[in-house]
Amino acid sequence: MKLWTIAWFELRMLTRTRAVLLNLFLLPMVLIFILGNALSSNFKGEAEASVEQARVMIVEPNTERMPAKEEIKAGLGLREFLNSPEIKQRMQVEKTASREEAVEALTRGEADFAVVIPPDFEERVTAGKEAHWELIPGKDSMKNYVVQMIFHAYLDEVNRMQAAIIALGPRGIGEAMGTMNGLEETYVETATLNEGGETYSAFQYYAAAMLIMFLLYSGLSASISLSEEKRKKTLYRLNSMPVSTLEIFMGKIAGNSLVAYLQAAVIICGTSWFYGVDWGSHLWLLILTCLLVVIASMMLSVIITLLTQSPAVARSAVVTVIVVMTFLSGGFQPLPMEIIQRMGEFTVNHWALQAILRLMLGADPAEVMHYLMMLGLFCGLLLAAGIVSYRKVGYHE
Amino acid sequence: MSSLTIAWNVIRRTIGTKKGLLGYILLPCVVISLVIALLGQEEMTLSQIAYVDRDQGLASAFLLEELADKPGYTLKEYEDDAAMKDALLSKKAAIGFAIPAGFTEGVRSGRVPKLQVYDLVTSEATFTLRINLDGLVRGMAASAGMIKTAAGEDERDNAVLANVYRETGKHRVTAIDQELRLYPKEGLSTVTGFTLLFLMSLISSSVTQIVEDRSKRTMARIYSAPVRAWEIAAGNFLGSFIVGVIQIAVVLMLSRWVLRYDAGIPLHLHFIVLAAFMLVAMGIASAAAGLIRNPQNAGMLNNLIITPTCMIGGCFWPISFMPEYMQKAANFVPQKWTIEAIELLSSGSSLKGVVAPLLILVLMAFVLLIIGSAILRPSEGQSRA
Repeated sequence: MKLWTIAWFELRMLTRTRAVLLNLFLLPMVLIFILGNALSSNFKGEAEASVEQARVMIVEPNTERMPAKEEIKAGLGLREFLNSPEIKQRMQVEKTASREEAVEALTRGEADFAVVIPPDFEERVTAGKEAHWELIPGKDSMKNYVVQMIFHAYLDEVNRMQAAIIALGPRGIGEAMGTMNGLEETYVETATLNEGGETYSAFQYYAAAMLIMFLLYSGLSASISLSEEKRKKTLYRLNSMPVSTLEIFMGKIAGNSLVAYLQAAVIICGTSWFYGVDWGSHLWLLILTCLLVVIASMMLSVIITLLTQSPAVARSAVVTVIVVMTFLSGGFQPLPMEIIQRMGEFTVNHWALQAILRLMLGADPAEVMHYLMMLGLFCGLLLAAGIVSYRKVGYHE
Repeated sequence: MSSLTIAWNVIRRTIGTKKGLLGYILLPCVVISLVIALLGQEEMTLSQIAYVDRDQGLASAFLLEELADKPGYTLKEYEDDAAMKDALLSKKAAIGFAIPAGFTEGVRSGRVPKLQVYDLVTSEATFTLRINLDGLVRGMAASAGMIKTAAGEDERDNAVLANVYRETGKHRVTAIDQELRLYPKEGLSTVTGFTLLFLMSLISSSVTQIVEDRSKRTMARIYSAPVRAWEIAAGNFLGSFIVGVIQIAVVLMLSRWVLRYDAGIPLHLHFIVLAAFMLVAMGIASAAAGLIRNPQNAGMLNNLIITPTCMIGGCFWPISFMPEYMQKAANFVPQKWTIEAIELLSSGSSLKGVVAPLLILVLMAFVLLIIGSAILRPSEGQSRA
């Protein structure tokens, strides 16, 4: 009973502190709002819409003999290609006399990209020989990337036609030239990872990763609460009461855990109501996951707090461990690297994230249980370590 | 003069002991350097792609061959959809795609079934892959169409198509990419982003020192000495700043000389930009501590400021991914300017070229530190502490 009194007091204290309230309700929502809005265009596939028009310098053959402001004259469908509305929207083409001039414009930042077309390009292509353009990227990675895509697409087209002519013989030429057809049609669709065919988005991934991170942070407040009692010398007074130390200790943990569950509820309900995040259809498994993560979080911070004497060191150690674990498990960004994944498997975040992701994707509960078992194993280990360190160090002045 | 004494004292207290040196300099710096070295590896810039080939035909084979030829892709085949999805979920691959059954037939007849692209988190690589696949399939379909009009619908169709694809695969007409190294090193923004994330959490811990001074009432005693308020503030900030500078120097040197990560930036310029960022981070940490009464929770709040600002600031994904208004919001976070400055430096700018972002950083730091100097007022929060 006394345990619950302490837990209840802890809960009341926490919900009265402004920082904790901000932490508890505002921050998760802010974070998820940012995520939802930052990546919203991503979901619709309009990422490149915001890239500015690139200024492209084209070094053309025989320009010495031509007036400078001449239209781009190269054949092989290049003029038509450059004049098509999609391309014009992306880049502004300018002609220049020599490669040196173009490079200089690039280094000065006056142009974003340069293309050098060799004088015998057209000749060689029609003769079925090898021919190359020189592409010189400029200072802006995003523009480089867009322009490179465009010119590679054009050259692929020319290459394809040349190949067709070589393979089919001259009778194909008529059809081959000038058929830059159907750019509107797409051959690729984005499919969902969801087993049941329901939509899945990156938003869900981040919502899950952030939920786990926030739950882990809740251990931090337990750590603070434990060391504050010592610092304010109130633990001394509590010890003089007819309450066992274990009860005080457990009460504090219970109170902070309750706050963490409240936070989990806020995040899960908030995201699913305001942003329509689908947390899967097995609510109980989701709750079980949160339960295990909170236990792990509490035990982690208890161990660190008990073993390090200074509260400041304990706090920064807890934070570091959480950030590193989130990083390794891909909570900030999935990192496709072998070593990081190997290390990630030793984190609480990894197993919890995998379990929640699979729940979201409508996987079989048995499959999810596998991940929950691993998570449970982690909790068990941490719990054992927590008990050992409590017995060794104890919670007193 | 008094400021210097206070600063010296702050430094000595933080890193003067063996424990402090280990906890504030050595350990965190090793962690950050390791992160830099890990993310800086070549492997990071490769897109790991999982695929399922349900067609197993002429066209799908050509498509895969062409895709594997593109720079920066490593392809891996999976048996079925479930295996591929699992690989994506466990992050063995970043993107996955499936070639539908009857793809070759579709290409030949002109009714191409759509390829399915899967991803766990949409990223730049997803877009590239989608565009590449789209371009390849469009070309293949066009070739097939051409053959149909040129050769008619006869039995040799398959052989001719194979022939055309073989010729196409020889890539006679291509582009040569010239490397003038005008653009930032690939993957640098991710490396910088995570460096900033870790730097920020590191700096918040040195600001807690100041907060502790307040709650232990050491601050009140300092104020009773004949020292002006601004000298105390300057001294404290100077002390934390120097600790931060040492941390950055150690990180840069470790990652450059021991772990051999080369950002392609002159060391001193890299250092200046990071130092400016650190000043802002200090400002954020102390402003958060100053605004929240309870000093114990201030550290926690600060930690939770880090993640959202890093997201807006483009630490995790490129800013150009976000919608217009979010990109405008990014202007208010220091991470954006730091990443911009570092990218500019990497693309060959001199110090003059990054004056604008640096000035913005310094200005931000100035404003935040003024707000943050509120934590140095001994009166507030004393009774509660």
